[in-house]
Amino acid sequence: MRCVRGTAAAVALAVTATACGASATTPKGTFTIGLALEAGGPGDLSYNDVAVSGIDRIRTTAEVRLSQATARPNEPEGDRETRLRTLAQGNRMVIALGPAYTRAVERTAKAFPKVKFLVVDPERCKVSGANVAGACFRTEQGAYLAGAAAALKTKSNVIGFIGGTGYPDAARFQAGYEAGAKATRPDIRILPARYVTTEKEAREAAKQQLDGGADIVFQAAGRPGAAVIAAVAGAGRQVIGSGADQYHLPALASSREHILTSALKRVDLAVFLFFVLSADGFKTGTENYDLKLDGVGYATAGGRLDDVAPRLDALRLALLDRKVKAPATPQK
Amino acid sequence: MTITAEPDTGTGARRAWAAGPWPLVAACALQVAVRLLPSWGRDFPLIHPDEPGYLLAARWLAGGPGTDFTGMPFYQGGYPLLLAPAYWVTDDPGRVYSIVLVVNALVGALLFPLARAVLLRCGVRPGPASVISWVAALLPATTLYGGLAMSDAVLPVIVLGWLLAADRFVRCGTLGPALLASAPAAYSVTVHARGTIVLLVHAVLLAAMAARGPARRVALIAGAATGAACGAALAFNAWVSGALYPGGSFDLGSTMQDRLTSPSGLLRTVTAASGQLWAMSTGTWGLGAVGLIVAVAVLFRRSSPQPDRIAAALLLATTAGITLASTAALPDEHRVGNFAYGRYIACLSLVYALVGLAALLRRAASARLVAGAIGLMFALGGWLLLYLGERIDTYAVSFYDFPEIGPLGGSYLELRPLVISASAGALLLVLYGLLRWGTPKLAAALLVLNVSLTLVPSSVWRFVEETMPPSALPRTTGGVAIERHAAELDLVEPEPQLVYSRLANAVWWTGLQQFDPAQGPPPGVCTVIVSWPAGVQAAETWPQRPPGWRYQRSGALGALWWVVWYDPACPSGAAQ
Repeated sequence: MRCVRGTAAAVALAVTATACGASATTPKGTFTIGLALEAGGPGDLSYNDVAVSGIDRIRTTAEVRLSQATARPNEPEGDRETRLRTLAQGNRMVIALGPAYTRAVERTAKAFPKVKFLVVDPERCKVSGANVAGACFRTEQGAYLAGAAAALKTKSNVIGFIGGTGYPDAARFQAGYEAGAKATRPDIRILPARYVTTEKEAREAAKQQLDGGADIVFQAAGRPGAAVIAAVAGAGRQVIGSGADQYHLPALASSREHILTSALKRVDLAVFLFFVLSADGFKTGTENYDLKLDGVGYATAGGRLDDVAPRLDALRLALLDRKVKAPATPQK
Repeated sequence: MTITAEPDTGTGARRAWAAGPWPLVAACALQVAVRLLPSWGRDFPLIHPDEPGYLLAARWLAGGPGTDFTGMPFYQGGYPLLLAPAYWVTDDPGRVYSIVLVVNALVGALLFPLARAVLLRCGVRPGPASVISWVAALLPATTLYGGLAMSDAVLPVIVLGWLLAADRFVRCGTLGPALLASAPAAYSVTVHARGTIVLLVHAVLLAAMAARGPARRVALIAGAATGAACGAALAFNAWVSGALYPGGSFDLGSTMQDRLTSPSGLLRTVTAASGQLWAMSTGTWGLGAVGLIVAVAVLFRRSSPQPDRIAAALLLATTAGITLASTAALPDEHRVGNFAYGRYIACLSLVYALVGLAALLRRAASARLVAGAIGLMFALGGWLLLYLGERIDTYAVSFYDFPEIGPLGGSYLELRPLVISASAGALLLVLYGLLRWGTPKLAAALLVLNVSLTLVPSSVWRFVEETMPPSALPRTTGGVAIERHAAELDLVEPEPQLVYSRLANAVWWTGLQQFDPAQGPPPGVCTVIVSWPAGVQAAETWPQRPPGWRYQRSGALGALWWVVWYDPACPSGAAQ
């Protein structure tokens, strides 16, 4: 009698909510959902697209009418609130991506008490309000394993990292990645991390990392991440994706053979479970999506990690056992 | 503590039969009805991949399509033999499942007469024995698993039947009981790996009886018969394994070897084995703990009659073998349930509960014995808590891990050993106290406990599955192929197992093929199943699809997803 760890935990989460008054039946009918995306918008092959694929997963159980709106870079707080109010007017549930939405959601939620809100990556992993839930991610845990994979697979003993300035959790990805690599191979050389905003910067950062000798580069850059992947793959080196299982993304098919793994951040799972828990009841407060819940992890698609799978699995178990701790902030 | 069992003289049984077989038939029929109650209306498996593992073996044995379960644990063919006729009646997996549950209930109802025989053997008067055995046979340890297409539905009957026949053989020394004991012992080898323990204990008994005593010749004949039956059982296992696990099944032996050859592995094994005993004790409302103490006392007290000591030895040896072997063979799944798992020992739970009940009914159970049973539950639960430490919070919990005892702790989401021990202890005190007001009160309380604590977990199980039932396939004709990666069945990445086993059971008209999505669909295939990776839209899961193919999103249990692609040009087939 076996049950996959994350599945069991996810269902446990669903049933916990049931005990708190949520539905005891599969949600049925048509549901209207508003989705407030981060600045990268749809097609970023990462954060926003994973959230949209969560909506797609909801469609396995119910009809969904989706309205979505995208934030502009560095927009004022008032614009976010206006966007949320627009979405709340026509939808039963509103999902907002990124910490910048936290306060705007809390204010909007007060004005729309019948609408259920989810903030993905809320500030300091806290939300308030009777109709507000939050989804936090221990992304450093998945990145730790990706870092260990990089350390086990590098030939030059030099690896790099490129983050996105507007990508929530990029620093957590960096922290976990570097710690996992160092713990696995103490003599490894990790080039100073680069943070980018545009695709041009991403290409330049990738070139710099490659010129520095890195044969594996982790990208957690959001929309500009595709440029990193293309640049690294174009140079014949290996790249680690983030958020989605980027090996499988059709838009990155030409670089597929160079994608070593991806550090997963299952925003889709959080979106799906928020829907299940909100369809007829609600579970307020924040939920931590970690390794135990399969909310984070690393992808094995492509089979490039098959030879080091036992090492990585042992590390995964050590993280689950808390024998090893992945730091959430980059070490000096 | 006077707990010596009295042999059944047979007068009680004869008196009961004087009224004809109808009371027994009616009581068994009522057992069947009550056993069907928790799973009423459910026509799909809950436990994956175990239930499909048995169901697909039954389908194949009935002449239907097989499957390739390479890499999965070996689900043996003995239990599927009982289910195979269901596939001669219908192809529809839902209807088959309903018939399977009826088969389970019919077999499970045999526990009533067997339990009655145990109580009579333990010296309980026929009247109370009839009432109490009927109620005791409904323990959640037997009824819960009877609501699933798993070998655990029939193992309690097999093991109890074997124990009774073996005891009869020890006392009478005649060939009939010897052969009657050998048959379930050999059959159990085809049912589950735990059957090997039963067979080994049976073999030791026969060897001991052959070495000394008046039944030497009978033991030798029974030994030869057992050997022949065992050979046939092993050949049958090999045949089933070769057909359904062509690349081999998951190797439990290497894990067992690692566990039994290192100090930490041994400590883990002994702890998890004691955890099973704790789960059995608390899951039988403390009665099992009384029974366990009684069995140990009978074995070690020199004044106990020799047949009683042998019966106790058979019971305890089987218990030790099953608990130690099953925990040693379990891989480290980081699950709390692996340390307090009641299912593997559930085949003996009823026996211990009956021994405990017999002690209570014969007024052989003193307050000291009851206190000892409560103390035992606290000691085992306390040790579990101490050994697990922080892991009790960090390890995963499944709803199927401790169904019987979850309600005693007030949670299916965390294991609370001390709360559960306290609840079971309180229930034992209530049962002990009720005995002062007569057997009917005890029976009524036990009935309420057994039925209600079967209904609670079974309704939770049903909810868990219904959080996201898998969609029906859009086509029920033509070939069906599953992406090779999604069909790589091993325990390291168990998710494919859970998807594959669901689909293998749902695809009733043909065997599942495997394919490489980069190569397109194999010839004659109308439906393919591909994995649904994180962050990918369902529509983008198979870029190499032929023109015109459509997709259907599918999932189960809230975190398992896959995508079904189908050729709309294929006929849709009969709706199932």
